[in-house]
Amino acid sequence: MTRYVAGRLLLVIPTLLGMSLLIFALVRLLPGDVVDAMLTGDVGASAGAKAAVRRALGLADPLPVQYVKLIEGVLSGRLGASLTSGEPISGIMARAIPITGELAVLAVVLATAVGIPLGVLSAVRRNTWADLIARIAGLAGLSVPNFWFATLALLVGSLVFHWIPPVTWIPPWQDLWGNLRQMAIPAVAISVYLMANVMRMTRGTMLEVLGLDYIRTARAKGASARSVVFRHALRNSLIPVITVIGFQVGNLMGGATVVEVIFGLPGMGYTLVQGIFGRDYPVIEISAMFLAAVFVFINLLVDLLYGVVDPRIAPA
Amino acid sequence: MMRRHRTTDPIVESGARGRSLTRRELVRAGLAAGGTAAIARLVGGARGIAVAEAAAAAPKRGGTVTWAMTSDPAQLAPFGGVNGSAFEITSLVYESLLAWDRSLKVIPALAESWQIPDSRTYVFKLRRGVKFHSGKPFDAEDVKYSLDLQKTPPPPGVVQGFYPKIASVEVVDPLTVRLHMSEPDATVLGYLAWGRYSWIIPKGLYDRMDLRTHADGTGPFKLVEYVPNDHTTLARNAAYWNPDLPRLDGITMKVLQDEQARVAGLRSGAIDGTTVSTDSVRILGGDPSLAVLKGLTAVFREMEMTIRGDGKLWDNAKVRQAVSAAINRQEIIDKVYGGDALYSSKIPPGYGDWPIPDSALKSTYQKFDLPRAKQLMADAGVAGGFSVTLQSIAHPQDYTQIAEVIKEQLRQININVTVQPLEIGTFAKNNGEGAFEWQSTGRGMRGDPSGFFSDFDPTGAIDKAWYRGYHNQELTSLYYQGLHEPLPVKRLPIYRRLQEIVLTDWPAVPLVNPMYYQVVRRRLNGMYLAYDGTERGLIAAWLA
Repeated sequence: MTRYVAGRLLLVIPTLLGMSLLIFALVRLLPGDVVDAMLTGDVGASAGAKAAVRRALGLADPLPVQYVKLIEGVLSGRLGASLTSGEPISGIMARAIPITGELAVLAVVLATAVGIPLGVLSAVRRNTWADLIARIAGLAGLSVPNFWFATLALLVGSLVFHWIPPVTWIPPWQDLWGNLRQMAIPAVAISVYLMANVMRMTRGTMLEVLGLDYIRTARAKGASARSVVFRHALRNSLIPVITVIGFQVGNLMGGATVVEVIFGLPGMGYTLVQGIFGRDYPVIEISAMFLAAVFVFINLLVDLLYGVVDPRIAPA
Repeated sequence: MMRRHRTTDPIVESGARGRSLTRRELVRAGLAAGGTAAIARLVGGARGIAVAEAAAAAPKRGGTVTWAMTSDPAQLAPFGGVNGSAFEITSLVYESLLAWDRSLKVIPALAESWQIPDSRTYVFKLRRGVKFHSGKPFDAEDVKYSLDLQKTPPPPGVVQGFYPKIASVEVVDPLTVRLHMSEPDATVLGYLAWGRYSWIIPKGLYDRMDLRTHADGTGPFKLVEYVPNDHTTLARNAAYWNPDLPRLDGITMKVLQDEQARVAGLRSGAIDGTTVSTDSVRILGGDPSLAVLKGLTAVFREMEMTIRGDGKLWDNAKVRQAVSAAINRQEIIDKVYGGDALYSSKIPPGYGDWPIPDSALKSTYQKFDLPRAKQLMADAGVAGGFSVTLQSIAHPQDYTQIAEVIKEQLRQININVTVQPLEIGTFAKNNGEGAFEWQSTGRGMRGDPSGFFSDFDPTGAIDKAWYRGYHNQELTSLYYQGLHEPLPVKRLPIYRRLQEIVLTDWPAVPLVNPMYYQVVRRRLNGMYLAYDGTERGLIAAWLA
């Protein structure tokens, strides 16, 4: 087990390195740079003036040098600063990661808490009204884009209740209740899709498992219905569900962008997109590398979790 | 071009307080907004309302408001920043020697008075007893430090073309400053009044703090905190030199990019005011808790052409004249802006007395005349037309929508336009380098009317990038005459003629000027649309 984990961890290094190179290259392939984005051509800045700003920002170095500096910085913990605001990247990340992390955690908790029971119910009560309603709700959840849900929630909130979540970010360590009031609707908005996905996946695998021989055996030996469903069937159905959730957590870290923009929450996705518009290279590179790293580690975590859920998978 | 999307004309401001616009009124205003006479009628009503209400209710002190900005300031450096959102913040925190009143008249700010003994000398008497937010008293040394630094702003500031021809700044005594010009330059007063590139900061401030995220000005509000991508907190400057101002205890400037979120914020009361589109005004107009402020932006939409003398057919002035004559600007206004825009000369409508009046634009200079356009194409020997690529800014969408309308219109004279929407970074790069045939873009606010013609300054970066093949002797000599002439009365005819040249020779093709809206909650009194697109109105605004 330890060797397996160590091996997987070692594999992470070349993955992350390759990724950093890819991200660096893609970012630099974007036409225009931070100076163009800042100037937008209208103030009559001369080419010489622009070149001076580029030199001051360290953009005049050859690209390989800039790449090496970036990697050096990441390895030594000196992440550099935003090219536009001058704010240290570490500060930007310290603000953005908790926001998106909290959104992702809330969304996953919500999706699991609602999606799995619904999926089980739907499978056990197959072809009943409950099943039908759950399946329709699931289909709707898959089809509704999160930004539409978010906009609708704002519209209903402002028109009917004259209330929308507070607009400026409230850190949970300052005011947990205020924070939850602020995060609840965005979290629901991004969890709807995941919830539906989890529900459908749980239902599908439950149905499959419920038809297997060992379930019949369990029933035959007189296990209670509750025990059959939860101890025997559900646990064996969870592997694909965990895969789905794990994959989505990675997605949620960067994919909640539109919802973050709508609710004015300066999370990872928002920061990344703003960075791209402003051609703020360090911000783009570091946040993209962070998101990629999260993806890699969550995949690793999911693989390890398989073993916990199903001991047969645990590598010898 | 991009970030300066919010300049407003107080002259046509209507419904300033106590009245929201219905859809019908909006449409009518849009249609009527044609002639200056119509504008004058609008003004009359609006001013009357505003003045009457101001007299009726005495302003109160106290309370804080949340204002939603449409994009992040990115950084707050006082010098060399070109981001319009940053200007919204700095205009509440910093001040310059002069300021503009609501109709663009130059008024005293940190300077109490000024004299122009000769065309190369400006003398400013400074206000006594002013203190920076840090407590440091303000004096002439601060002015010299600031004006010197503005010329070559420290990074990330960028040297820009608006800095007047100031050769040296002389400190005469602690409350007197004399500017020595290297050549006569009439842009000085406008440059100082605009403030955008001319704030005054305490001597040595750049060595003491990171001005991208901190500030120390003399303005009515102090910067408490700037959280990028989230919000900026401002608090009343209790030691402000004008004891009546500001009236609010504090302002939170929150970035809410999504228009629907801003609309919801207004309705729910989470925000007290923001900028919205015409469509949202139509939705919000009926809400009794909200008031609609309407004005003109000084950000006119314009089509640029590169004229390099490399054999492109539009190097020929006749072809450019045909293009403009074939463009139906009213159709652009109706289709892209739902009727809510005006024709624009090279100096946009509402910019003081300078622009060519709307009636003349419609009847003469920018008249839609297809037969004439066809004739001009025939005269130029290109009746068969040609193909051209028109780059447009992809977002906001109106630049591309304008391009699409133009594409359809120019089909009539056999010009085959390919519209190419580009993300702003790419667009800006092409714009700066002149890497385009035609572009659908916008031009912004200027401190002085000469600024609208700086593209044609033969020493400027734009002229080199776009106009290598374009020479107009009269335009160039009038451009310099206008810069050297200090007297507004004598400058007026110069800038009238400059506009005429552009609107007949068409090195650039000014199109239209969209209207500009802000919506505020009714509890916020005395707010107005500032011409320069800032929220300066908040300085004197107060909560009921």
